[in-house]
Amino acid sequence: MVSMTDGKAKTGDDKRKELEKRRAFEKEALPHMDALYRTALRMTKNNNDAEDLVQEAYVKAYRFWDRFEPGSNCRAWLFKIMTNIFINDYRSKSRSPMSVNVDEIDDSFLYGQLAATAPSDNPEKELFAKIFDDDVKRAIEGLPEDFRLVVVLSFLEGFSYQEIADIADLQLGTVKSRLHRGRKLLQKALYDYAIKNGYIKDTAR
Amino acid sequence: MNCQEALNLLYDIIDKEASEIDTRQVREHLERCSDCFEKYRLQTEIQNFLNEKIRHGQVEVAHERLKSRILDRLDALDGAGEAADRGHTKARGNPRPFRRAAISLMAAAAALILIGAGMLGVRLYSHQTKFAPLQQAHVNLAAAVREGGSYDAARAAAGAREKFGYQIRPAVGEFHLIAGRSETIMGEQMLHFVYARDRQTVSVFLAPAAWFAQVNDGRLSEVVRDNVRFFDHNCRGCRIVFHRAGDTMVVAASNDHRIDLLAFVPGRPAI
Repeated sequence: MVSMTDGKAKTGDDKRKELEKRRAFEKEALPHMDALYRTALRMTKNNNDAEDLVQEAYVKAYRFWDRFEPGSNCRAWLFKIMTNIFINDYRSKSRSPMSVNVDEIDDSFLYGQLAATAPSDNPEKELFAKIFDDDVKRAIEGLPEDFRLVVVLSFLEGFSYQEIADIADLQLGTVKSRLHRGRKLLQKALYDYAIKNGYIKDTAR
Repeated sequence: MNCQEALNLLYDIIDKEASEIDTRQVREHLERCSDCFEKYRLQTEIQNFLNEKIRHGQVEVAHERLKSRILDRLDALDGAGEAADRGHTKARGNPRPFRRAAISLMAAAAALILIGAGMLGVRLYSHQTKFAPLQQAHVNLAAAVREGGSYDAARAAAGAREKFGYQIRPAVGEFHLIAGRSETIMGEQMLHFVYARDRQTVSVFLAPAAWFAQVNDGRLSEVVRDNVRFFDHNCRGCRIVFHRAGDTMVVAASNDHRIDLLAFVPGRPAI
């Protein structure tokens, strides 16, 4: 047996409290594991790091469980802890500068492109039918981390702007602008995939 | 409201973050302006499509293995008293609500085995009693190192030479030795080393060769590679490979199934 924690004996009262804490934690916090793992996967882009990240988040959450206010949003609290660990320990060492100037992409980029490509009542329908889950996943994983984080928290997890601001420790305005820019990049990436794979013709260039 | 004002609120509306007043004014504008209406319609379609793809198309769920790992770490955080009560027979992978009951059952089963219930019982429980403690030790030390604990690998390697006559390598392929210490596992004094490559870790245990008789449940696969005979325990979430080097049993363990433990020979008998 690994004797890391041997030493002091516990009173029955301590033990009972510990058991209650453990029960509450398993009931409140553990059910969010799939959601945390899903987001961790999109952020770290690999299974092992995602598992490590989720595990570290839970260990930290358990240590600081007394700071969690019962009745408040446990899911958001766990995401905040995990996001914090991700930002401090996991984000890629060499963060490549943005290769695309987002502001050059028009707000209705995809719309303009689609309308030019397939003039019809529903120009997007044809394209959507051809885009695979994997294309979307790759497009998201291709976003720069700052944008990817808010996009994942919003699109995948459905958090509100304010919740994302709390989770990622950002100003509300920053959340909105990153989400906006993330959206544009995502649309551009999907359009590029569609061109590359010949789903639609590149008539706009 | 003019077109620019309406379009400025586009994403707030789509994300359902706009105020009631703004939402109403935008709706009124869209009833009058077909250009803006078309832009709103398309963006809403795109967003619905993305949400659909993102939320329902990506159904990865955490593996049971991750849950076990997390619960084991919580066990480690829960203090000494309970850990001592439970001993080292961790119920890895058991459904948790029944966990403590399962431990009592296992204790009862273990007693039956002692009385002589035979090989069947031994096989059923061999994972919990023979392999889980090694796996547990691996998880614990790897986590302790990751959290900043320092364990003098060089000193432990010197111990390996003296006690086991085994020369530990500072690196195995791209894995580097990052920690080592002496531990008592299943009542046996062992040396425990941790190798790491990025975030992947492998534990190596050195134990007397005679100890192997205790863990060999007769179900380990035997694999010969490069003239070394390996005994392979490979179950969900737990891979442990044994081989003998002189009077020493060398054990490699990892919960990362992608690592080829049959190629993980961390040293050789010292001359």
